[in-house]
Amino acid sequence: MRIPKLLNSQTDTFIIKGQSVIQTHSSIKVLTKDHQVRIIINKKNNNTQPVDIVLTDPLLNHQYSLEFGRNSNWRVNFFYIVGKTLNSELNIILKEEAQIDLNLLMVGKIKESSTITRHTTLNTQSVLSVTTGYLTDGLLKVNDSVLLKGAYSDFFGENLVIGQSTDEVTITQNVRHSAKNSSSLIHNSIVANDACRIKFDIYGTIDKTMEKSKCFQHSKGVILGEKSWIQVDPKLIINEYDVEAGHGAAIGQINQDELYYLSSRGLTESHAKRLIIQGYTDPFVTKFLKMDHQHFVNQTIVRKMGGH
Amino acid sequence: MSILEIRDLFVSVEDKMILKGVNLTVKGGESHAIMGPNGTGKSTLASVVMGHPKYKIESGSILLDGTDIAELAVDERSRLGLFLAMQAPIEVPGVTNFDFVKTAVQAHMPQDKKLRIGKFILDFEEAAKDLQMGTGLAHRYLNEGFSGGEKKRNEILQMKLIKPSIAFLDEIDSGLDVDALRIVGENVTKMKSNALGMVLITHYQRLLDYIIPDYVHIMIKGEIVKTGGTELIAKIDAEGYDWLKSELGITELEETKRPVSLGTCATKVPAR
Repeated sequence: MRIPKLLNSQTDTFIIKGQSVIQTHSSIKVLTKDHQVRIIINKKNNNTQPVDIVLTDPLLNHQYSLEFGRNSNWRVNFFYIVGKTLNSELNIILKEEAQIDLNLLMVGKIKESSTITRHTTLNTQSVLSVTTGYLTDGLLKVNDSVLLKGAYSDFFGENLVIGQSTDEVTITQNVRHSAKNSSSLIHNSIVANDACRIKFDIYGTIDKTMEKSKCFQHSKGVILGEKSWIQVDPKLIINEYDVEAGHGAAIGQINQDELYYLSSRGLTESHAKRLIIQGYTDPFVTKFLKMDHQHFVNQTIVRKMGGH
Repeated sequence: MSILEIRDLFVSVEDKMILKGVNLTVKGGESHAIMGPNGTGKSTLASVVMGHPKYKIESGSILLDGTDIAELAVDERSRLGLFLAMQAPIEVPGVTNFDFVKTAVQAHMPQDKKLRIGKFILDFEEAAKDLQMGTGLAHRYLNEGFSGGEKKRNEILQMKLIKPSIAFLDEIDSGLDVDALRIVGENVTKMKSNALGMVLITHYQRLLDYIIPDYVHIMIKGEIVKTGGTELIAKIDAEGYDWLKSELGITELEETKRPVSLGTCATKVPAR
């Protein structure tokens, strides 16, 4: 798969294709063994500059790991460009006290059904804020699991899924609290166009004795196509009394009250609808601070929205 | 100077008649206050003029500068110069206040003209400062997490920047504390000019202490039953609406209420 020009043009972007490193980065070390590719970021980030990673054509049945060392503090933009068929695994590991802000964009055309498995592990006092955009075309299955392994670890996950045409996206999220005082919050935003089908199964589990933990899940979705379909199935499995947990989901067509309000300020119906949808997508776009990244993400979203 | 003429307007919602022959003319430069008990059709009137799809016009007309607007869409009415500061402004998550107001202002400009963004930023900041709305306002999502008072002030901010020719302010005083009411009142009063006709819908005198109306209308059961000057405000504040109901012979029962049989109560059936 060709790397988009916007991502390819910068010399400080770390680029890996399959197992081969195309462009290096001073803060990143890569270890490759058999079917494993470990991308390791150990150093402390003193200049607070984000690191940009492009992974293109991940190999079939390979395991990619993104590992952040103890006390590391990074903002990472990760562009995951899938090929024709994909059954691969991405592991994200945060060592003790790592504080990571990760923006992950999945793009590309999948010709056959593909499965991406993502395992995230948070050790003691580590904090991960991860925003993921699933903007691939075709049949995609995602198994996304998060293990809060260390006490006081903190996970905040935001996901944006836009489906069009006959896309089928099935995402299973599984957040497990296996440490005391751990907290998780998931926000899913879903936009369904045309005749696409998007399904979320969300599990939040707090293990026995993991007191003072907090586990929350929220999903909102807008159905734009007459034949499009969204299903969200949240579940909480709580095995400890002294915890906080909750879930909520709001799926429906465009809110008529919002439409009336925007129209009452002179916006045409189509313009008002576009603005309401931007309400789903803009919070994701603005996570990417560089203007050319925002432009790339915006272009991808506009294409997924059928040019609107 | 615009003129809004509402003629013999009958409006229903879900087969229930709410407005029963409303007549009202608002000219640029005039301020009208509509007062009345709860559920009497004041907010319905504002929503119908704006074009809310929930309401059905049974008969009558709404003319703006001589053109019947009853068949026009909500956005078209707005672009012709109508504005409604809503009683309960809607939250739109993910859309920033700045983007929304900018888009709204642009929508009111002629198609061949482009918004000068630098000037708009200065205007936005000045309006937010006048309304004492704080510096983060531009980047907050539209009405999301706003207090009741902030939502109302945000309506006035939009009105200041969109510059309508006829504006309805629907209970803009509800949810405002004394200081916020003064700020809103002062800002609205500053906007008074021949280019703006205003209709203030309120229950209380306190808003009308700051925005002095030229005409006061009292609406009861879907009709404007009395029109006068500011002397009506003080009388309503002191005595309520009962004196007017007795004067005009308005009874509380709208229609003859008939007893309704609820049928047989559920009875215990012995287990088999």
